[in-house]
Amino acid sequence: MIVVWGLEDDAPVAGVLRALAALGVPFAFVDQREVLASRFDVEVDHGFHGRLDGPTWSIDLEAVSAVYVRSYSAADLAAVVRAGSSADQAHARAVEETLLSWADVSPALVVNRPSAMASNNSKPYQASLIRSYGFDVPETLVTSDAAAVRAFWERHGTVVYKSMSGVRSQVARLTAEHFARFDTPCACPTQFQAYVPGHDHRVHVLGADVFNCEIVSDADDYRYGRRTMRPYELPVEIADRCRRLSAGLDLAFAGIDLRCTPEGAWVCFEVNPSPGYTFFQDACGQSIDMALARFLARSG
Amino acid sequence: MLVLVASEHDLVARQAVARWASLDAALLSPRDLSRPGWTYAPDDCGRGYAVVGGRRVAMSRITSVVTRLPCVVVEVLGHIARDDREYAAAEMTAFLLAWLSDRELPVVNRPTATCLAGPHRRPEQWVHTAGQLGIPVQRWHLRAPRLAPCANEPVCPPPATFACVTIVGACCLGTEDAVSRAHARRLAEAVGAMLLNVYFTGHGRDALLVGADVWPDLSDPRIADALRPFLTARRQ
Repeated sequence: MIVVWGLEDDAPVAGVLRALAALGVPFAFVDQREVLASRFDVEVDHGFHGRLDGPTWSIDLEAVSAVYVRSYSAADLAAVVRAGSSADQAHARAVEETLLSWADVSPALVVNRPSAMASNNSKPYQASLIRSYGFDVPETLVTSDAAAVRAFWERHGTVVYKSMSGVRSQVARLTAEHFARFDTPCACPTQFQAYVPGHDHRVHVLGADVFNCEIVSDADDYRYGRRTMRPYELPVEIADRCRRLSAGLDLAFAGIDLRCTPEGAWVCFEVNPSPGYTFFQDACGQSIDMALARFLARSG
Repeated sequence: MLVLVASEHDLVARQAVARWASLDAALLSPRDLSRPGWTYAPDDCGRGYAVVGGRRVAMSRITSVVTRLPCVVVEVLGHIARDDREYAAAEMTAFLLAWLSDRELPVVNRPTATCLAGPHRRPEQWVHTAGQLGIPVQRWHLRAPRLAPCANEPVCPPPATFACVTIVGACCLGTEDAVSRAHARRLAEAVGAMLLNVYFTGHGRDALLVGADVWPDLSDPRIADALRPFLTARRQ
C-alpha cells in the first residue's frame, strides 16, 4: 500500500494524489486535518507492528510499501489550533511523533525520511555536505562582528545575507546602510555569502530521474521578483552530480538549487528535502507529480 | 580551553565545568550567541572566533567541546525580544550544528542533523535500533485511542526500575555483566556515540534493553573522570 501524509490543499500533495488516482493504484491519504479523529496502536521491537486508523482509512504499518511525507507541524494545524485543548494537542503530537518515528525506520520506500530531511535546517551544515559531493558552494561567513563583515564585503564586492535555518527568508544584498545596525545588539550571528552571478536552476532529482528548470531573474531572490522559467537540459556531469548528492543525503526526492555562472561554473546553494515541485513543473510543463506517483507505485 | 555547550540553567554542566577547571573549562550558553564577536568561516574555521562565557576566544584556543544541548529553545532566550525568539532559536540551532560539525573542532558527542548532542532517537527508535542489531529488547507499546484525552502517552516501564550502563569512549560504567556491556558497546558503536546511557530492565545477562539517551551525568565523578583522558588527549 502507498501512503501519502500531508494536507489536501498543499499543491505538491494534491498533485501526487491526482497522479496516483490517475494511475489507478491503491493508496491511503493520511489527511492531517483529520489528526484529531485518528488513532494508532503500535508495538515496537526490531520493527514497527500495528495500525494507524482514521475516519476514511486504516493502515497496517507492515503492509506499507511506500510513503510520501509532506506533513506540517501538528501544533500549527488549523484543526488543532481551533480545538485548543491540551488533550487535543497531546493527541495530535502523539500521532505526529509516532508517524515520524515510523517513517524514519520503516523498510518501506519513504519520500523522504524525516531524519534525512533535517540537514536542510542548517544551511551552512548542509553546504559542507554539498561540497563533499563535488559542488562549489558560495563563500560564507557567519558572524556578529561588524569588522569581519566589512572585511568580507570589501573582499567580495557584492555580498548577500540570508537565514541559516529552515525558516524561510528573502535573500537580500548587503549595503552600506546595513552597517549602522551593527551598533545595536544582535540576537545571533548572521550568515553572509559572496554574491554569485548567473542564472538559477531548480533541479528535481527523483531516484534516477532528473527534471531541471532554468530561472532567469534580475532579483537577488527570484521567488520575490520578475522571472522567466523554462525547461533546461543539464550537462550530463552535473545531472550525475545531482543524483549522487541526492542519494548521498539519503533523499529519494530532492529539489537542488544551483546557479550557473557566466563562466559556466555550477554553484550549489541548497538541497530542499521536501520540494514544492508544482511551482516549477507548472512553469516548465513537466510531469513531476506523475513521475513521483510512478516512483511510489514501483515500490509495491 | 574545554568548552561545554549547554544551557546556563544546566546544573550538571556547571558542575562539570567546575570539575574540569584545570582544563580551562567554560560554559558556552545560547546567551553567548547573542554577544558580538562570533566569526565562523566554514572554509577556515581555525581562524575564527567564538564567544564563551562572555569572552571572545580564538578558535585555535579551543581544544575540545562537550555538548549538552539538543537544540536551542525559545524558553532560554529571555534576553531577546519576544517576537524574535522563535527565529533566533532556529538560527542559533542551525549555527551551532554547522559550528560543532566542523572537522577542526573535537566534539563529544559529534552533533547530528537532528540533535546538537549526538545521535538523537525517539525512545522507541532506540529499541528499534537495538532490535535491528540483534540485542534483546523490551517491546514498546505506543497507543493513542481516538479522542481519548490523557491516554495517548507511550506505555513503558517506570524509569526507576531501569539499570543504566554508561558508555564513555572505550569505558563501560554501571555494570559488571559482560553481556550488558557488550550490548551497550554495540549500540553506541552502531550510532556513533562516544557518550551514551543505555537502559536495561535490570542487571544480568537476561536483561532486556529498554532505551538509551545521549545525556550521561557529567557531574558523576566516574563519568567525568572517564571522559577526562579523551579531553586531555585532544588538548595535546
